[in-house]
Amino acid sequence: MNRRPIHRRAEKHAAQDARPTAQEDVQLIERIKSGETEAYGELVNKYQDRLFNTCWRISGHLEDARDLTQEAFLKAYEKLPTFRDQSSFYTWIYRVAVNLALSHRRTNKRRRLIIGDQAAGTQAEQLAERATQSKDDCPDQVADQAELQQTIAHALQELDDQHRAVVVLRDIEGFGYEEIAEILEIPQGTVKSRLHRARMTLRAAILPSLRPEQAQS
Amino acid sequence: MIDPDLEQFAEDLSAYLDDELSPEQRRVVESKLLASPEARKLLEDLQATSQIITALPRHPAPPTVIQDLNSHLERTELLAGFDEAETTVVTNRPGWFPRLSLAAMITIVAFGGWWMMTTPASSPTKPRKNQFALAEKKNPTKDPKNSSDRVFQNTTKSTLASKNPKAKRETIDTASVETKLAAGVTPRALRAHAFVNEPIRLEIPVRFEHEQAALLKKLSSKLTATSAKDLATGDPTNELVTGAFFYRGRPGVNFGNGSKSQILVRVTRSQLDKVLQEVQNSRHASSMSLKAGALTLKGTSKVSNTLTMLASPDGINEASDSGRTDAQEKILDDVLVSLGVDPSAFRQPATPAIAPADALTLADDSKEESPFIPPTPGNKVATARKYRRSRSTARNQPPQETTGEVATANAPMTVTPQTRKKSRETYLTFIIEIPITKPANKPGNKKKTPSNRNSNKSK
Repeated sequence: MNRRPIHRRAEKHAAQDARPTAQEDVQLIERIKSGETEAYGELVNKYQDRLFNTCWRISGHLEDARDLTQEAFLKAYEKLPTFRDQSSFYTWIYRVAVNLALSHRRTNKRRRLIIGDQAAGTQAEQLAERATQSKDDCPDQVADQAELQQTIAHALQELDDQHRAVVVLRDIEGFGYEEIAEILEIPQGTVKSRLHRARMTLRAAILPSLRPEQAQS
Repeated sequence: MIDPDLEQFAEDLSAYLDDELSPEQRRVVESKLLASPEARKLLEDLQATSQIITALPRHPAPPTVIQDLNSHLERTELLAGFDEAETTVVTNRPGWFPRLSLAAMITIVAFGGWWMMTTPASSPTKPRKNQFALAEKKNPTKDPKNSSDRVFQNTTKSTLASKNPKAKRETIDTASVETKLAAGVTPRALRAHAFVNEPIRLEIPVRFEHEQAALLKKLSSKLTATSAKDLATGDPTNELVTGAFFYRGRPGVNFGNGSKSQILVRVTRSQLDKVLQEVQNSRHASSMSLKAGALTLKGTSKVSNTLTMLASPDGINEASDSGRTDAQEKILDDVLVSLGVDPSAFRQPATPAIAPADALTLADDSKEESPFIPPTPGNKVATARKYRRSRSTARNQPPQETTGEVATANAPMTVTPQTRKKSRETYLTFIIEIPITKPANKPGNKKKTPSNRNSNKSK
């Protein structure tokens, strides 16, 4: 697959973003099909964190994310005999998981989105820990960052499902437009426009922090 | 508010940020960025927003993901390609067995009980853990000697490549419902087991598929009482439900073949009455039969009475005040023996501390192994039954403190005053089977076929 280089990656995700090669997955799948079932465990271990995080950010709920992740792996396992190499396993399993998460979201619209609240405590704790440990960072900056992230997290959940999915896949999981189009089964142009609209909406949510002078005027 | 001119190529700004533009498009955007401070500000904002999103904390997958995956695949393995023929072997006792005299049976059973008491306890129903080789997050299991590896391998082989009949025998759990509950398995977890080995089966043959569906539906509706839960669709978070429940033999639930004609039932006496009433109201009642071990009873009243008696071991709570007849008692004795149960022990009256309404359920009060384990092909005498009663089994003797168990077929009670909890009704577990059987063509009743009709016309 011809992947475009991706400019921006947070350093903290650099290690996680070591993109697994499609060839490795093909070999694992071949091993599974030939009866070497431990290989499926390797696949699960390889992708469960990413998949879980995606399901979490799309569904908005940790518990649901756990179930959705499991369900995605189960579905993938069932369909593995029919899996062909037209797409990479990586994008294929993501498609399964994202579809499940979106479908789940549609059927649970009444549920209040508390991911921001869930994340807030974690973020606050993490950032507080970092603030006490780091001598370079100003505690105020750390706190501002935490507040920004909380605001963004809330705003992310307020987005339309389709827009949120694109943002999660692009800015959190680092997929390219082509991959996102494949996962969501939409044209690349749609990916581009949805992503931009989503970012503009999220930008508006944090604009007072980004541009205090504009907020005051 | 964004400049309208800027808005036109704002989408390109995001794509430019993501390096998703062609070289030509990139040149256009860069030239506009040079010319427009507002465009540069917007790009900065978009970049900052995107970075904040990227920096959102990530949550690792909980270890339960892979654990639950293991459990589910284990269940799939237990039920996948289950051969019905294997299950029938268990209930088809050798021909000589029923012909033994009652006294001989009791002697054999008693000996078997003594033997079981003196041999080290085994845990046939101990739930297995980590059956599959799905590696835990940090400790991948690659030990080839690990039975879970072989089980998981067999699963994959059976579903993806080939079937391994030997693996099926290794993994099928053929314990009864009561055995599992006694071992501490929760009702929800029962879904992972194949209960094809229940010794009591109520068979109600029908002729057509629509009759089968209709009767199943009627019985299910009667069983769907407030206290009954379908394990397949019940509240998955309520693992403490040990009350009456039933679940249908649907694919992937609890029957290997996923038979649509079966319902596994665990009901109280009152719910049993509803089931029997529904069956009797249908036109299939006359053909129903009761299989208890190797014994088969036919006849509506005989079947109904026997089931009712099995659900009421102490004879209490029976609708009929006239009591049981000698003939009924004799039938019950035969059934109990066929099930490998001591009839006198079954009828042991409740202790004074236990009022009739305080009959106990095994699931509630005992974590010990169920005294009744259905016979396996290698266990012709059902010696798996345990009799740990220390007191006399005479009907009218005063009760004593004991931790023994009444080894009944499906309503075992543990009389352990120190552990006794609140009263509950006893339960009877059995399978309702509604097979489709075509009546045999009687000689002379030649079925009309087009060729027959034509030949008749030509005459």
